[in-house]
Amino acid sequence: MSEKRPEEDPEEEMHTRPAESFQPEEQERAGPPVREQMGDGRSGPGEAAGLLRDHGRYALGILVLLLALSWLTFDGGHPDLVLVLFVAFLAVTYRMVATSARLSHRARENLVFAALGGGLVTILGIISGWSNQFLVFTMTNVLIYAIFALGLNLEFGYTGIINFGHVAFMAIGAYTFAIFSTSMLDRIGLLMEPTITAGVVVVVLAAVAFLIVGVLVSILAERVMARSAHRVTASTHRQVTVFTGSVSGGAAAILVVLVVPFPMDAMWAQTMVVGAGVVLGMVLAAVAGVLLGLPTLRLRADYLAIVTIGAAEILRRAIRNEQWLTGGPQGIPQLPLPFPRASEQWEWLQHLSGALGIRSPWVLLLFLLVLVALGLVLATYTVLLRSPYGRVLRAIREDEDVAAALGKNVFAYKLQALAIGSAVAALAGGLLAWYRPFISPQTYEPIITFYAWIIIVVGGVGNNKGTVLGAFILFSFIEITRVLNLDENLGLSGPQGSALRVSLIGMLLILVMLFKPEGLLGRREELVLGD
Amino acid sequence: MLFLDVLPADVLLQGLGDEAARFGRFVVNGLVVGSILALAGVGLTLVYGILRIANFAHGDFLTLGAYLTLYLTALVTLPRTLAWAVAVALVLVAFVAGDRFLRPWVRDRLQRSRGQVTADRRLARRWFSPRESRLLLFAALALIVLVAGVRFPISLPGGLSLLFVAVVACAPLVLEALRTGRGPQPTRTLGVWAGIGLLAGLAAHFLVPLQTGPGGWSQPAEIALALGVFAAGLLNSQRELVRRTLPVLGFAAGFVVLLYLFADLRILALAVSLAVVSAVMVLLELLMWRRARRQGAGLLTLIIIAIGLMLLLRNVIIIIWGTRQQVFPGTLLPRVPILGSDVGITPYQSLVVVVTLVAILAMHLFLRYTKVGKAMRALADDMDLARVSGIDVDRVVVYVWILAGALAALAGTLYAFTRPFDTNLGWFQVLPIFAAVILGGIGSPYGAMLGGFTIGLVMEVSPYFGVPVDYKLVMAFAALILVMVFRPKGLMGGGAAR
Repeated sequence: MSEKRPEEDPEEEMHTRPAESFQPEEQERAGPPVREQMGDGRSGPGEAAGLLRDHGRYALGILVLLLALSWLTFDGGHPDLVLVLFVAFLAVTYRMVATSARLSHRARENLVFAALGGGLVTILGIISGWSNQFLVFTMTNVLIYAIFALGLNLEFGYTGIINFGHVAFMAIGAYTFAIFSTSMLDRIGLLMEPTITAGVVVVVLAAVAFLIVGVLVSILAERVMARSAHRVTASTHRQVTVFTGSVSGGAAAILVVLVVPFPMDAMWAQTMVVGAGVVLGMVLAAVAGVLLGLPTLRLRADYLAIVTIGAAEILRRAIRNEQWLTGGPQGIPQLPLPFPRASEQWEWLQHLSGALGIRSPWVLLLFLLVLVALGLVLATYTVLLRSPYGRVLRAIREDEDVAAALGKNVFAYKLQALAIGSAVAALAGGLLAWYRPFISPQTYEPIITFYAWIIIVVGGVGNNKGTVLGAFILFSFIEITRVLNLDENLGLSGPQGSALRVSLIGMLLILVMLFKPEGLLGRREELVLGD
Repeated sequence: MLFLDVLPADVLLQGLGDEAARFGRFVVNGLVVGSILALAGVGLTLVYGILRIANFAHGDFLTLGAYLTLYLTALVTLPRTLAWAVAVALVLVAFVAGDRFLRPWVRDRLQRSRGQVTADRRLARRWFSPRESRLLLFAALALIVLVAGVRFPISLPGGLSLLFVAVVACAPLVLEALRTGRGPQPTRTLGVWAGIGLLAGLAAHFLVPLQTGPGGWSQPAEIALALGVFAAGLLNSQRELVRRTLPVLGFAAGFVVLLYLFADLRILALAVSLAVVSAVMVLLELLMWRRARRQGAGLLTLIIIAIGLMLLLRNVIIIIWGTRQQVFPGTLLPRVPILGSDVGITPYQSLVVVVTLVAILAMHLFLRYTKVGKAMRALADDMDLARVSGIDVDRVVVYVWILAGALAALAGTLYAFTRPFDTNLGWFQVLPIFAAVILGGIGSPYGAMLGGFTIGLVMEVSPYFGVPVDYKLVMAFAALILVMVFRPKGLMGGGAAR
């Protein structure tokens, strides 16, 4: 697809042909190279105008498509047509933005993101009759899965670790949160009659656990480096101290929260417990990641894939069978949530949700919480990946041997990436448990891992923006087909309807891998999949 | 076969007491599951070793095979007598057509190529040496004993029926040998042979009171009988190409038809299912795998494509057949004691073991003695070297997919014979299959067979030692990790383990 140039300017093609011989690679990736150079580094309103000029036909097409979509949905019926139009919309938007020669890679990324994201929100709005409640609820789901896939993106997109058991870490996060917070709240009677001291006790417990485990993790990492066959360089040591420092810093932060004497009423106490549960889940998931990685990270890529897929499956069966801990197949109902009485007590929340026409303030609050969590993850990633640390990870992805030859302890870095990615997955697990709010083994089927894979592959491997966009596209597709009752209209019922959805997703994965392996936002020269 | 009556095995097993019998039951389950893993593993290991595709969709081809067989079985039901008529007609047509068209064609080809002894012909002539076919016959006879012993309790009617079956299977051979004094002559007595085969089948079917129950699979003894006739045919067909081709064809046809009848069309359904799954695999090769290979797709790309295929295939199966649990008629028949001991086996289970042994034998012959089989092993060993020696890789790869598809469908169907199943059949098996393949060494078919039986036994016997039934997979997984960490090349040291 990308190898084709825009069809509407054949003359341009003629002019730029001589340039091809000098820059064949760039030519393959984007439009005419001369323009590429001109557009590089520039961004501004002029670009968008130029884009519209170049692709007026496409823009018009999008407009017509959107109009047709809204007409079809208001008319009722025709869900299949709506789906076809939806796909056409994606293709046309992408074609319009991504192949434009005027833009730098960065600007193109942003534009694709904005265009597809905005368009999808519009479509979701149209099909739901502009119900903000539905939109916010769906967005929450999208963002949670975006966080989940971001964990995988760090592992695979940046470090090149192939992990098909990602859902296991989500399960660890969710179950740790659920078991920890329910048992804690039960034990001190907080759920019934919360007191400030009880809350303090719980949070102290959580922080202590966090500290102990965090220090253990850093010591473990330190040990692994010390015993490694490679000579540990000063820079590696610096990395280790940064890593352990950040862990203990996180623990210290919790302690500070404790020391600050804000009025801890029942609501805050429960929030603290619940938050501590999620954090503990993240820590445990990181530990689990290290435990899984220690014997397996040295294996070949395909072996690692099999081992991780097996580990996730075993964990799921263990969850289903260990009734005493996890509640067995029924799972754990009625999980405690953060800010339990915010809907009644916080006026700003009521005002805001009232203004947006959202009936349940909790939906909005959860959306905001998830947004904050996503922001935190993205900020951490930015700091982490733009530092020397991130460059080492990418070096490992490109060529392990070179990274090792430069004195980097490849194994330790991979272990850390797996630990961080697992912790992020656990965060998503905790948030998803808030979202439902119950957990059961059915939530953690292997398909969830594959969702994450599809998200990062479609969005562009090794691109965080692309990951968020991928989550957007995947769940828009799922929601749109669900809302439009596509399956029932095709005469399929229940499981067969969702099977249709998943089979289309599987086909999408195959097609993307065959025809556009760099995804929507990835760079072909950074492609990890081709090696 | 009378010696079965005095064989001390039953005494021996009973003497060991309940504990041994209990253990024996687990071992039987292990053998059954191991058979399935071995069959599926051979296909996967070839694909994995030659194409470097860690094909996670392989399990779902098992599911597809099982569902297709079930569907086709339910689709076609003929009245018994009509089925017999069809069978006889088919055999007659096969023989007449063979005599009319095939023999002259083979003769012409032979005359044309006479004088220049090609490697092809040498290979063809050595398909089975006399010694090998004698071994084959013995193997078939051993199978008769095994199947019959496994299947029927040793009682007076049982013993008599065994005797009958054995005599029917062997008598023509012996008589012929006695008459001519130098081993049976195939060409003249071809029709007689086919007739004897059919008559024997008929007789066994109608005269011997061995029905297993309502709607049950009819006698494995008859299958064994057919196998014996088949082996006899092979033994007879030693001399030249003309004399070899026709009897083999004839007996193969007779064999298939016999089985087809005895199985209430299940064999026909199975054959179609094998063909369809193979065709699907070849289609996928042409549509995507070849393209991916040309693009120089790496290990990871191929794995992700395989995952996509897995999602697609499984959900298409769900769309077509739903998620309801399915069961073949006859699966839930009671276990029958082996040799009078307390260790029982269901008719289908014994079928699984027998068919697997036959299939493994056929695989062995295929890989050792045919050109394509040799090419496959060469590719699995060293792709570049094979290519340099003039092997047409793309062509051989198509054969690899055909083989993998047929074996996957067979394994899936056999698995579905032994227990109720749903669309998760393949997913639950794919990890043990991978364990078997890696245990045996990627790219090594023999390793996959060994690994399959090992993993199957480990999984199914572990509950005997107190492992909860739901954690069988953990055992397979633990074995896998141990192998990966300590011997990543597998037991047989597959050449493709790079």
